[in-house]
Amino acid sequence: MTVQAGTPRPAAALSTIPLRRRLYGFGSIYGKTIRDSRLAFIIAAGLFGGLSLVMGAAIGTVFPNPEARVEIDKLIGSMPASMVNLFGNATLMGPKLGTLGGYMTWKYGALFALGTGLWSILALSGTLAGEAARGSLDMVAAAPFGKRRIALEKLAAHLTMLWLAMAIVAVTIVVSSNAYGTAALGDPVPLAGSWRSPLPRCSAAPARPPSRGSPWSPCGRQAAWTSAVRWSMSARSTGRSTTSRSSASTTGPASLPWGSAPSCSLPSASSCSAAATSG
Amino acid sequence: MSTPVIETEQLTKAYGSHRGITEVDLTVTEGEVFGFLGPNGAGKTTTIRILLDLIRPSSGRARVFGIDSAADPVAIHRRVGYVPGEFALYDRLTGGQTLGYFGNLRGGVDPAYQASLIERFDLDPSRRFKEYSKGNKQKVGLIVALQHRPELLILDEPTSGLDPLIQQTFFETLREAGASGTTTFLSSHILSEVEKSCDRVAIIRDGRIAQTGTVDALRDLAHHQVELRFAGTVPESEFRSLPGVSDLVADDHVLRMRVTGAITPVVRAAARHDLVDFVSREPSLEETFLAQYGRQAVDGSQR
Repeated sequence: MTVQAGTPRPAAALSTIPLRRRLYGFGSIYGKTIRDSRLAFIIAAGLFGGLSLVMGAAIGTVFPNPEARVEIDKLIGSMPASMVNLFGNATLMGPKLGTLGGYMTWKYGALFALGTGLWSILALSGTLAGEAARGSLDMVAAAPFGKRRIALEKLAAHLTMLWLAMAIVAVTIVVSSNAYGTAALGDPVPLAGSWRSPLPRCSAAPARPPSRGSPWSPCGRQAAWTSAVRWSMSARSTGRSTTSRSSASTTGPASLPWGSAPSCSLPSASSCSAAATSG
Repeated sequence: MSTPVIETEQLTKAYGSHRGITEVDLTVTEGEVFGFLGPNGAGKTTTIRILLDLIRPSSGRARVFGIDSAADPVAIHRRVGYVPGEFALYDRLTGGQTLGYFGNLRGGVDPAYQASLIERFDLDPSRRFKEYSKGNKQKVGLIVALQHRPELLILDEPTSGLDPLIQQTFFETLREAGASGTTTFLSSHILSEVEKSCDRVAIIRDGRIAQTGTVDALRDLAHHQVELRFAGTVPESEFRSLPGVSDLVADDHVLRMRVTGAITPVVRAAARHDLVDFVSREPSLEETFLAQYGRQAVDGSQR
């Protein structure tokens, strides 16, 4: 049995730590990490949020109507398959590739994911390793917290800032899609849909009921984009030449009978595409 | 008998093939100022880091307040104030913000006591840490360790960079803390510092405890390097026979010698001649160890 030397001294009259300082400031390791992440947060939220607004404006201006959006097919069709997939997995995008949010996600989603991933790697590797490199880790580790708690508070603070930055990006995407998108083309992204997870969800603008006669009805777009993706994927897998791919693009998605696309839901993109092609 | 605040048994730490510490046995009782003396690289910091569970021992055990350091380090940290041997804090924070942060990590500190420490150590808390001199940075570390009135102070080379006046203030603060029951574990490589501030001392060299006892044991080690410069012929034989004088070397009109104990006989003998200059300095611990234990001990401790 161990005998403890003396008993802990009774606490003196201590200053109380306000909750806001525990959450932001010098009241806790969590609060200080949040404070230390200010600059990274501003850069990430500003960069990605700003990019969402700028790209929304650009896409809305360059591709304002169904005819213009057919050009996206041609654009993608003219790109090498490896480059198409460099931006993102177009197959997974389905028909939403034809919406403003979908196009942005396809083209910039990987960049966003890479950026946030890099931020996480840099921030998290810098939290404890940074303290160690600076020479302050021993003093922090001598505080009355376990090492696990110190690490968890720092992780929680980073996740908080990451979540806040993504929330801002979600809001800017909603603003961008509503301000620069075209409602008839299914561009606007509802806040509720984006809030759950801005980057992945921005592509999943809710499917609308197909409006027959509209060449850019959701299912028509779905079919078109699925065809474009299938074409890209098949070209990539079979290793066809650029010439043959270009030829396929002109007879592929751009020439699809959009208005006759059958009603279908998002998960059945392939079957919808097949139906649209055959119809 | 006082309850041990720190107790180590056969504490050993090896860094692969490199020596850390070997079978270190220490006992520090409540309320005492315990000096942990050794040359650079002797194993002082390794021992301290094990006490705080910042590293784990290869074998042996360490208990602080009767708590195994590896079993419940948080309970130990709660009652300890610590100044690492080498540290840096947050460049962009001011001294005041840094003190506030570490105080908050302790659940808050008495602001009046914190302010009194800032005043005593003459620290400007409004300046950023990166703007501080080495001594001012050290002051921040000392106040961080003291401001929550810990029961045990673990100080690794605490006076490094402090000017003599602040060193004096620091030792006064230690004495006051000791009077209120605080135990201090003071690591140092400066013999005189330990001699004047500690009740007991352990000397570590080459990772092993060489000597443990009261601070009087240091008197045997304490000596001065004295250099006398005369205007005329050097009366070498007169000095060689004086008590405490050894290693006497004559070089033209200069006499160099090692004086152990009181320096008065040397001063009196020198005053009988035409003395041009008198230099007395305290040797470094390495030099002291060299004189006491021989070259092997010093080389070993610096590995």
